[in-house]
Amino acid sequence: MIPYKKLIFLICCLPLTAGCWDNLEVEDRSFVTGIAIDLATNKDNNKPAPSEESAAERDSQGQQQQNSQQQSNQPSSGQERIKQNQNESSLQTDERVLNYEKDEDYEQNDNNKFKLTQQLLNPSTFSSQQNTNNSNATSFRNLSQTGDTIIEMNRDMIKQAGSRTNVTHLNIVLFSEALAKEEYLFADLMDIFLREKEMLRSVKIAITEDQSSDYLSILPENEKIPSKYLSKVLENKSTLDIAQPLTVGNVQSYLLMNRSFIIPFISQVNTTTVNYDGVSVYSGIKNKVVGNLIGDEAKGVNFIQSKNQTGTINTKLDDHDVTFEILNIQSKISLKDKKMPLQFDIKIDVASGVAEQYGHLDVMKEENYQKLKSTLEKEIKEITEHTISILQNELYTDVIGLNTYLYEKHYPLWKSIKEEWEEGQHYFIKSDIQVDVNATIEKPGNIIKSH
Amino acid sequence: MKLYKNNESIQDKDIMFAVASNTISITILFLPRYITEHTVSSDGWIAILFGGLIALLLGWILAKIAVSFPNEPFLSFASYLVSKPVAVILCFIFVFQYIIISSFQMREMATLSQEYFFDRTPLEVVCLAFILVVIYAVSGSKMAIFKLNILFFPFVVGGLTLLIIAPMWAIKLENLLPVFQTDFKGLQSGTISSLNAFLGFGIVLFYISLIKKPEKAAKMTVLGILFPFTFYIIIFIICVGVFGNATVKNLYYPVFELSKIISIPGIFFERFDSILFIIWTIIVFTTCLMAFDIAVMLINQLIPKLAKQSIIFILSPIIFFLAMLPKNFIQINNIAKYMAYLEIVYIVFVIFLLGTMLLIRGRRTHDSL
Repeated sequence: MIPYKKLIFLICCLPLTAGCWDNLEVEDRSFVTGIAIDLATNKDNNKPAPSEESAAERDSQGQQQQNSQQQSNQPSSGQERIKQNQNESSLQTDERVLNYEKDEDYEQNDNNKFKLTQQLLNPSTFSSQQNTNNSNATSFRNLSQTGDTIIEMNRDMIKQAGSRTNVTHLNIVLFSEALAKEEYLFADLMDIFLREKEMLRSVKIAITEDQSSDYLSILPENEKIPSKYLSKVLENKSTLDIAQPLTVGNVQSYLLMNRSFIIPFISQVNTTTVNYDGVSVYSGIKNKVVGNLIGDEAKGVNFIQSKNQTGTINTKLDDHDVTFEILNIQSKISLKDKKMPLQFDIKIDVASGVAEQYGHLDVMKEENYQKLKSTLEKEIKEITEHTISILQNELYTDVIGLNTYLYEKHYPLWKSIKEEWEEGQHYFIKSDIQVDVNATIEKPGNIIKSH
Repeated sequence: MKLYKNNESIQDKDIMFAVASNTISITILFLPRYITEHTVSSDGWIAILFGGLIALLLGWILAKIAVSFPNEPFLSFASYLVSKPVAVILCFIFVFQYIIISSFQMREMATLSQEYFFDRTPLEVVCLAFILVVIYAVSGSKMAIFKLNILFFPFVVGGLTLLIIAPMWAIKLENLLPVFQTDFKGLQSGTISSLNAFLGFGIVLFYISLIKKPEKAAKMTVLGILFPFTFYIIIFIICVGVFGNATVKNLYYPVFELSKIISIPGIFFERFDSILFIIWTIIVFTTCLMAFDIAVMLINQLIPKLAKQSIIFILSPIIFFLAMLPKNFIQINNIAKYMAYLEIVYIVFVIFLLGTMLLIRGRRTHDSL
């Protein structure tokens, strides 16, 4: 009898060994690799529009709307369209509604704030592609959805995706500039990327010049997935006018400390290429992006912050172009005078090499070396001071780390002025910033002269 | 099957492992958050230093009290020191405290696993699976518990060392500056918060009676506390160095987040947090197990007639029920905070009471036993 009892007991135990409650096969998941967030631009033309208005025309309107000056004109045109609709018979309208919804990405609600676009990677197609290796069929798909919060849009998207979306391999999040310039929106939207348990804090952030969802379909010939390509673009370290990759984790600490910071800014060149233009400046006080630093303006930030970035500087010596390669930047901020206005001294040590030189200058001569050195120093000083003046006089935002410097090295002083740094008394704007540049040219290159 | 042997005895070095494993509990996962709440930048390590030193002192005194009565259970020598009724009350409070610790650890474990791994698995199922294993371990001999501690110890040390070393590259000096800016009040609150994480040494009061020759027990207790002590300081500095003070303050499980930023290339280790989850489970398991065991042991001393297994089967539903009681994370958080304060006050009170009585009455001479 006893063996039978034991056997029955063991059989009863079998269901307990069935394994994981939450198991989900890898083929049933679709991995989100990139996310783009825009303002929902179709607020006013969401009403059934005459079918003559093609999707292309609507797109152009959408682009117009990003120019904030023209936004005020839009509602009136929308109202006109509604009036037109009222003249038509209800049957026709219904037909047009159907057509309309076929044209446009599936969008269901009129008053939604955001448009979320996700790039989904299908693991099964991806692996099969590796095997066959013949078709350039897409191993990704982009889905769009509008809504008020990201998680809500994401849940709605599952209805389209056909499988559960999984964000553990999320690589990059794009925000459109229009959205980032709205107060608090950027900070609010950041919440989900920190709160969601599957999200990693190393997800990269970038701001795009126009509709960010477009960037998720930019696919260079040598890449398979657009978001991978964007992520590579952002990891670039060899030009000076760009920032370090900004991750979600960084953003949280900046936001919590009310610090201003820079966000990579990219723009679209054509359907297969993007360009990393510069940086957007996010003000921790105004809680929005207040402007962009493009090209040389962004270089100034890198000279002051010296974060392991290399690149080139172009100068003119006796009407000939000389380009220096910047090999290493060491900068040091110090506070000279604690009285108001604060006096900062920024010392920048640059190690460089001659990268390209027009004209026929003998770089081996001591006097020419001195000339090159002083031109380079003057150029860097100009670039840096220009950046500082933009930040002080136009953007009123400190992204060059003076606030951080005060916090780290002069904590009691920082504590007394932290509320008045970028607002109120505006100590940042009033402070006097001196830039000292010391450049050394370490390498002349392979040749002395080319002609 | 004989589960309970009366003639169990352990070595005094076993106490060291027991104290170390019992001290490191689920509290470590949110300890940096508690401390950064009160301190500026990376100054929290000073608070942990003070907390640790106080814990070393308290632990040493506690061990000394217990060592003064070799091979004598807690209730017996407490009755000698502070009369039987007071000793019984002390005993009851300890039982109550360890039941709550046990169920709290279990609940936090289940919450954590649900938070990060099992979306749809009900809390009750995770807890039930956990408590069944704990019951099994408690039912066995005490030797097994100590052997288990020693067995798990290398894994715990290894896992925690990895947790310390792997995120080193992500430390930013700017997150650690400025130093020494916290005012006295902040340090004081921080010290109390950190002391909470060291309270596991309380077990020596009950376990030293199991040692045959407890000459080195006090020293071993101190060594046992030193391990979490150094570990807490290092992990705190790394946590603040990686995330920055403001972020640590706003992370629910800062140390767990730390394990999430580690990614070792390769298929198996890519998500390091899942590997470390095993270590957290072990840590919580040993703490929960010893708390349960002490509760059982004390009840056994209070009511010797009751068989050990009956006590276990009475207690386990209570612990399970208590673990299910908090309805949301706010309640859990509050329970953790109040429990910590009560524990600190109680252990200091007990040490003070027993210590002074020991000084007044002196050790028991052998013939009066």
